[in-house]
Amino acid sequence: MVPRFPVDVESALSVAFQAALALWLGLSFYVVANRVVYNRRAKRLNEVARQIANQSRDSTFPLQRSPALDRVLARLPRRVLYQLVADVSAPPQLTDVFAAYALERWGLPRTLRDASAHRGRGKWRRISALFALGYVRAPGIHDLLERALFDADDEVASAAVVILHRLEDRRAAEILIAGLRARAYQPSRIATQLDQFAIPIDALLRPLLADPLPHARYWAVSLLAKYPDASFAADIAALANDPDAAVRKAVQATLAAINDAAAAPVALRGLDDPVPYVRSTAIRSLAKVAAVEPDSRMRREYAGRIAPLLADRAWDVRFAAKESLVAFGPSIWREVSAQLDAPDKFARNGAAEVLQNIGLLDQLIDDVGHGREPSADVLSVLERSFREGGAGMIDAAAARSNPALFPSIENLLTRLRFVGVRVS
Amino acid sequence: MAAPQGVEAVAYVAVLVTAVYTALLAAYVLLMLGVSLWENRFRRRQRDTEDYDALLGSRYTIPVSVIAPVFNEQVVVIPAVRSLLRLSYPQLEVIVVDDGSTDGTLDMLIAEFKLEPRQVFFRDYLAAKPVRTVYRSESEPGLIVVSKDNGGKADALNCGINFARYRYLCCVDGDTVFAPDALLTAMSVIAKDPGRILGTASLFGVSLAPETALLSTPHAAKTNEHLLADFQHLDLMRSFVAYRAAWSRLECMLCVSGGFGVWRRDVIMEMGGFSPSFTCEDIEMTFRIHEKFLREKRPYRILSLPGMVAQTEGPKSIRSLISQRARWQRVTMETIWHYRRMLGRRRYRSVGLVGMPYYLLFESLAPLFQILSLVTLIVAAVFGFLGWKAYLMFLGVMIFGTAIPTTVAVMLNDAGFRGYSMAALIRMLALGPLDFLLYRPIILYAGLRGFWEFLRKQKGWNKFERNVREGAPVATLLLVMLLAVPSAARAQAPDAVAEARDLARAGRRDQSREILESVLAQQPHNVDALVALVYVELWSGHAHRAERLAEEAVVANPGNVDALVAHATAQRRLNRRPSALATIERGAMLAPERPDVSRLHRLLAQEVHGSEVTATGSYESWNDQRDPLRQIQLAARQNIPNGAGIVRVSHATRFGLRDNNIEIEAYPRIGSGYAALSLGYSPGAKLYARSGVATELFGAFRGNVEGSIGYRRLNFADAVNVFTGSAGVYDRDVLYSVRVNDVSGGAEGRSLVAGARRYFADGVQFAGVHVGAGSIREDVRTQADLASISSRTVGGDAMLLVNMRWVVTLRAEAGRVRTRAGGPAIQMSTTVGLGIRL
Repeated sequence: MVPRFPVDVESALSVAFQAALALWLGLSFYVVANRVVYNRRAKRLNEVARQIANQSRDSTFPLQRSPALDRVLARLPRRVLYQLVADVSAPPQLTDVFAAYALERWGLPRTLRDASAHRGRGKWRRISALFALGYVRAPGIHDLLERALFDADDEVASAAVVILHRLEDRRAAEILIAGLRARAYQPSRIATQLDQFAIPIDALLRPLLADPLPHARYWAVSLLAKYPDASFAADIAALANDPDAAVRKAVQATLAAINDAAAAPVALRGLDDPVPYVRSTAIRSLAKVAAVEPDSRMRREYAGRIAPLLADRAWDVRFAAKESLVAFGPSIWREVSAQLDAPDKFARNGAAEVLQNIGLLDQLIDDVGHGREPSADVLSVLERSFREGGAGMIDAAAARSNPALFPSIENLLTRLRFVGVRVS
Repeated sequence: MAAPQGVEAVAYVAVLVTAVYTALLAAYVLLMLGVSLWENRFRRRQRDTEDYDALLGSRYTIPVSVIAPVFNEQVVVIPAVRSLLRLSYPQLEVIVVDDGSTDGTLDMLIAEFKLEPRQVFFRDYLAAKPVRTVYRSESEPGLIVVSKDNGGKADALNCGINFARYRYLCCVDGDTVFAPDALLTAMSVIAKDPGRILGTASLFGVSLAPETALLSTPHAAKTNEHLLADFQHLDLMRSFVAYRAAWSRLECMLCVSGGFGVWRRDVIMEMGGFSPSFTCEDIEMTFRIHEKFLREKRPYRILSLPGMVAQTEGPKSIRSLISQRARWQRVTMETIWHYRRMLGRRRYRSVGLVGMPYYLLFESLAPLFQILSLVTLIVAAVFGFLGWKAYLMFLGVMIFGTAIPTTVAVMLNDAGFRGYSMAALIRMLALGPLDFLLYRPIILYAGLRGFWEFLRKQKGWNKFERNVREGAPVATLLLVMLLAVPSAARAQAPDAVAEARDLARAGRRDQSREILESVLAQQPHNVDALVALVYVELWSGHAHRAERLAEEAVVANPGNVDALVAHATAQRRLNRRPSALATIERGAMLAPERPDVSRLHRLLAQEVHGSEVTATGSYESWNDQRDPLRQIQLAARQNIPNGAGIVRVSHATRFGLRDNNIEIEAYPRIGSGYAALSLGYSPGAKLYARSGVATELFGAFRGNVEGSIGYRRLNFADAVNVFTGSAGVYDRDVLYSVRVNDVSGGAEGRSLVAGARRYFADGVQFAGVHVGAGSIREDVRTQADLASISSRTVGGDAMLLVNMRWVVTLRAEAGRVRTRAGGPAIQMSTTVGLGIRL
């Protein structure tokens, strides 16, 4: 009866066993060997890095002066060298040397060819070639990077953005701005690099303020926040009524960031904007302006304008109002406490929360506990805050206070008609 | 050995099924490994060319709300939260949601981060259990701690989302310690395409002490050097690097793990938040998003990234691991079952055609196929369908074949990150083949248990007991000690409580109760009085009241170990052993050094999950010329949360006859009682009954009374029916009982046995005496017992537990027995058993 199987099971299993064992052994050996090679290479590269660090960057090309260095690099396969060139985390002096060596070894025409276009899996070679050409600022690199930025492949475009930032010249900025305008790649990623350009690019961004494309205006306004000495603030302020809400939001933020005189009036107008996120940005901008406003009267006025937005229909706006009012500090307690009588519940409990977070309630409890009698209207604020804040607010306030004050707090609560409330 | 024809046919089919299943799995794995090679290479190159410094310094990097639910994580919560606060990221907030912890988790957070309570009015978009208090930190402005009623992880996450202010959520586990670049790495990928990428998962490793695991220098990370932990570590690495990476590339990544998952908040809100209806929330949410977006034909991606971003605490013991993996199995099955409509449908693209079939065949049903394979192969080898050589070959194929994905995962991880030392790398490679022999059986068992739990619709989290740190941080130990220190209230009425205890021990329970109740009237949360009263009620037979009081004591004093012990004892008395185990696990975490705690812990663990193997020998002789009866029994017992099962094999010799008997017994828990069910079969039927069936129902009643009623049928040449019943009453630790047997059919007679048994402190060890009388032997087991026409016996028995591991049973009996064949004879029997608890 045996065997009953259509194949010779024992032979098949024997082959399968040998194959599995060989595969496991082979892979394990490969992992260990690969690591040994990597460790040796890493050791040599560390040596290269040390040599480079010891040489002046202004001297003649280090490879010519160091045969040892040349030997190390000559042993690196092209694939590895290309990977090292494209490793953004490597120290720049090292990648510069790798890039120069790669060009010397394989020649400019071939590297240019690699960098020009790719098919399928060749994109990493293209990216590495672009990095190599970028590091040595090879002629024509800007055109290659422009083409790469507009490439359909995200990784190629992403690498182009990074390399253009590393080039950090006017032409690179122009390409990036063109890419931003055309949404060649994720705009926030392009803006990230443009925002960190060491050379000023405000002159390049300014024309975009009048661009018909809303996102171009938005990014221009947003990126210009980096330039406090702004001659273009009026142009930005003029966009305060832009039909695009994102632009209006950016205007609020940028004017506050550069602390322009127009920031406060624009923000105050923004408080009435129909779009919630514009209103919340206006609130935060106004708080920012208030933080550097020397006139306490003006500060209170700003707070008085923000406080009613505790009743805004959008949660984000109410949240921005609460956070911003807390940033004003205790001096604006009267403006906030006015909201304790607002018809809207959000405004009332938001005001109570703000008064808690600016430390007013703690201060009042402390005063009462130490026998310093507050005025009647201040006591009224405390009573209304506790009323709106509920038991949670009373418990939290008690928990924050000195336990020695508990009897005084209980007396105070009794006076405020919170009958039977005990703190512990 | 020749096989019966039916067995042969079944085995043949089973071998074929096994072969097809294994071949399918191998093909699938090879395909996935190929895809993951591609994906890992892509992600490696993508990382190389990413400008992380620019992202880190940018105001355009997307802000993130990190949500960390914690429940009883006092051992690791501080390093975990610290690691979150130290994440290198431009703008983030950390929301820690304490899900009603009953240990010192919240106290530790309050002390460490100088938390102050605040009243906060927040959005209540997602339903969640009530918030108790919100805390803000003086020292860490980006930290919010929310204390809420216990509702499970999904509920805690939903609560955290209500507090979150940013567009992206990073949902993490509270027992996980993160690398500083964890969030930046994940968000850098999302930021490339935020419109489409809805969520990302990242690899995290397993460590026995995650708070120390991320301190390694680059290229020098070590493994745990603990076999079980390293297997778990490799398991996760294999899962993320070898499989999930491939599914990510194929757009069917089906599990963004709860350990570290980044989600777009608007999507989670659109989905209605995490679902508390499932055992775990992570895999279900991933499935739900896939289902909705594919059904609505909306573009999206869910990714898994291969970089190791964190270390999470893994179970150190096999029992804990089984518990955790059974939960994973259960949730996989729950989710697959719930979303079964996606399976194989083109509308759901690769999710329905690639991901779901994998989860169904190779995850959900894997335990069944694996056990089928195991049994089939053994049967095939025993009956000669498969030669032993072929069998060993197959074993070898499995050992090295299953090592391939592990090896590839190690290879890809090393190629991408070079994080491990050479020694660690070699150790991981060497563990690959051992995985099949040492780790897979555990996972197989856990899978079967999870399967069973799924069928029983269990939903519990089965949180595993936190590992005890060797040389635990001083701060942690101090805190544990502080929590265990008697409260101020405890010292106020010590004399009264001590007096009450003495009275209770003297049996004057009413007086004791009166004193304790008067103490509690003054100090309702006096833990000493509560605990003493628990025992008084237990001794008085008021187990339910004792349990309520114990629960009250625990709620009022969550860190009090005496309260936890009392609660566990009361739960055990009520036959709620899994709950008792969970309770005493908290006690063991707080006071691992207390012998009473560890003893009760081990005892309950044994009763809930443990197994026992016992060998028993008995010798029965008469003073006349009758041949003695020799009997050897081997029994294997497996406890499960809802009862126990026993397989018992007996071998007896007498009159030159030899006979074997096999019995299968089950003891399912029913309310506060249990049932005893038994099936027996003797192939020879020379001394034992050919077959037997028995059932008996045991119940515990008010006033420490228990009783049973049952029936037993033994198919000797003439079948015998035994109707039996018992009643007993506990007086503190002594059980007085009486049992009546009525035998009819092949033999007739009645017997009665009365006994007293004294249980010792753990309620397991005992010593007892009994007397019996009747017109037939009190315990009818063999053919010879049927011949008796009168019997008078006296005897004693005892059970000892040595080192909580070795079980010694002794039984001796002497009696005067008269049989149909002859006059009275003195009968002596001795039984000695030795067992080991596993």
